[in-house]
Amino acid sequence: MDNRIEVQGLTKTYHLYRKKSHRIRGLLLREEYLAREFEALRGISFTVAEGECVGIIGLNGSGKSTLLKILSGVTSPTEGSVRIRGEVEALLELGAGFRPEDTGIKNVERQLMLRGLQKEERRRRMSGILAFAEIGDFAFQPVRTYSTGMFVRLAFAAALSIEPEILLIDEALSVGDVFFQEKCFRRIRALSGKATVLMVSHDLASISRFCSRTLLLNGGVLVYDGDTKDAIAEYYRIRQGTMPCTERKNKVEMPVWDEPMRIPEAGSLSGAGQIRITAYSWQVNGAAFREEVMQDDRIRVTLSVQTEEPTDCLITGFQVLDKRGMEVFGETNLTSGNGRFSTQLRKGESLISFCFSWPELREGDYFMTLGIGTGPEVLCQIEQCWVNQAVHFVNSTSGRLIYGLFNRKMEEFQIISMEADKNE
Amino acid sequence: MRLLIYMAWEDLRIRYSRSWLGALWAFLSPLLTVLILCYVFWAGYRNPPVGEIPFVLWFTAGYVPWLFISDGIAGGTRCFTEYAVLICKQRFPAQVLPKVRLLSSFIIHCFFLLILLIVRYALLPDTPVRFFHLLYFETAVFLYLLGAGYLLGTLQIFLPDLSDMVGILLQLLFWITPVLWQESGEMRERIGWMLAGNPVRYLVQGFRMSLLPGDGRLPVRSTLLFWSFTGMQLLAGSFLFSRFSPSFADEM
Repeated sequence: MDNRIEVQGLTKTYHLYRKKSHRIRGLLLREEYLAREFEALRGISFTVAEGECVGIIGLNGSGKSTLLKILSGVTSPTEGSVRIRGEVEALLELGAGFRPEDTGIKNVERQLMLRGLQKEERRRRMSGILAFAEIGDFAFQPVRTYSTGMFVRLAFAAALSIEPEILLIDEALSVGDVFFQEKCFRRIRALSGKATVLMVSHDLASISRFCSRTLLLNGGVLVYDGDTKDAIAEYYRIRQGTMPCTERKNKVEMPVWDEPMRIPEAGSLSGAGQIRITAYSWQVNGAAFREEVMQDDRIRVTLSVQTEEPTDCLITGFQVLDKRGMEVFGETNLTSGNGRFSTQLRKGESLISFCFSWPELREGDYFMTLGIGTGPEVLCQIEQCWVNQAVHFVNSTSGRLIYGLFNRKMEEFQIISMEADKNE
Repeated sequence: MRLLIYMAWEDLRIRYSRSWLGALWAFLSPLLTVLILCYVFWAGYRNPPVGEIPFVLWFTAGYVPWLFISDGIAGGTRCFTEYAVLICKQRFPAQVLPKVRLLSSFIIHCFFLLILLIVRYALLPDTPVRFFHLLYFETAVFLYLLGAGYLLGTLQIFLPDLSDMVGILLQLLFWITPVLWQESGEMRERIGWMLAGNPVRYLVQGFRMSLLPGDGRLPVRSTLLFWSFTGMQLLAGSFLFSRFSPSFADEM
């Protein structure tokens, strides 16, 4: 298939000035030294083929939005080349260019007009947009009277009605109510067969839903380009700050513990690293390293921990994520014990173990991340050592249908007939 | 082109969309200004007629192009900054914006020109209007304002204070241009070069020349000065625009 987007060595430099007057001097006199250069993007290269749906993720300030801005032609790159073949529609900001004083219809009309559509075409699109937005007679009211939800609906409907060959979406899907979001997802999915879609989002679940391939940006550099699941794992690792890794001799057998333990993969570790998880193991209903789990199975996790500095406020926790990288559940010793559990850790090597039972969950793949931190509270802790996606579980429900992420049983149920009894 | 006309209409509508009478205010307020000024100078100061031309007509013939020019300059200065949303959030050809602004000012101008022509024919039915001259000076105003739009509009992005400065400069321009007052022969002798160097004076006097009876020959010196100024302004405007328009979105 043909490449729709070809990006070669893309670099975008912004000039930052400490004072306003410096900027004017820089412009007039070319006194470049007054500016501090900030490279929002550095040497990015990739290609996107026709019909592909590619996600772009990264921490705040990693250059995602700048990349989309360049691709959409709003701003130009400092270096490098961008080749785009096809009509581009960019959703950089939902409802940008809507005027609050004008009615919904008028605003949509303007959006369509600005894209140079003919009268017939505009009329056809307009009815489709109103049907999709489902805002009823509010379409004839000024947009300033709209609720946020209505505004989002209309803006999205207007943007999606244009059937572009290349669609660029920046963080737009994370707004609106769930039902409408779902509707937009379906629309985009329908589009993505024909169109090339690039989406930026912090919502990793929706990225993994649409995109089989994901670009991960960090500090303006493309650090990963490939399978979405790996990109998300990499993203988490970057988010927690990579830990300095020391080469350890591969000892599987621990002296005080007669079970074999796994050494964490060097790449899966992150955190400050004053306390380190050197090995870990788990059991499902007593069976070591089992991956198949079901509701109410008892899971025991053991961590071998090494530290040079003793601490009084150790926090040990786990988090279970689904394969889209969405956090499903998790707990820490601090929050589940209400102070019952000791949080002291002595210098040297220690073994930590905890136990929990598997909840009712939809079937599928789950990954458990194990983590150790220090601090008085979970929300203000120093992440010492995380083993990202340490354990893989396959959850089965033995044929029971889970209607959502999990089920909740009805606790009362009755049928009362409201018809009057004919015999009386 | 269709986009241009549509956006010019929108531009007008939006400018006055908050009020009840809407775009009507665009016509109403200058119309009232003309009436008030005419009344003051005609009834109050009893300005004598200029030659055989009634003062009201003489003044209006200069005030109508002045309105177009001042509206065009002020609007052109803000043409990019007021459409920042379009430039920053969408792919949009920024080069149409000065034209959009010019066109929306022109729509109002056309209305006034029409009234002016009616009044003029009512007061001076015997002498013909020099339509060739009118066409020439309309073109001149267009090119003058287009250059100003590109130049000032681009500068405004980097110098946000410019639009306030332009407001004051327009005040100044109004008083150094013979819109309300008349040039005397003595003045022309003493500061003729200064008068000729004012491109707005050239346009205002040109409109009077087209509409009112009198000498119909173009003054050579001020014509040359006007076109060299306008040409330079166009060149500078398009140079600055093409140099900086790729980074507009970063600057706003």
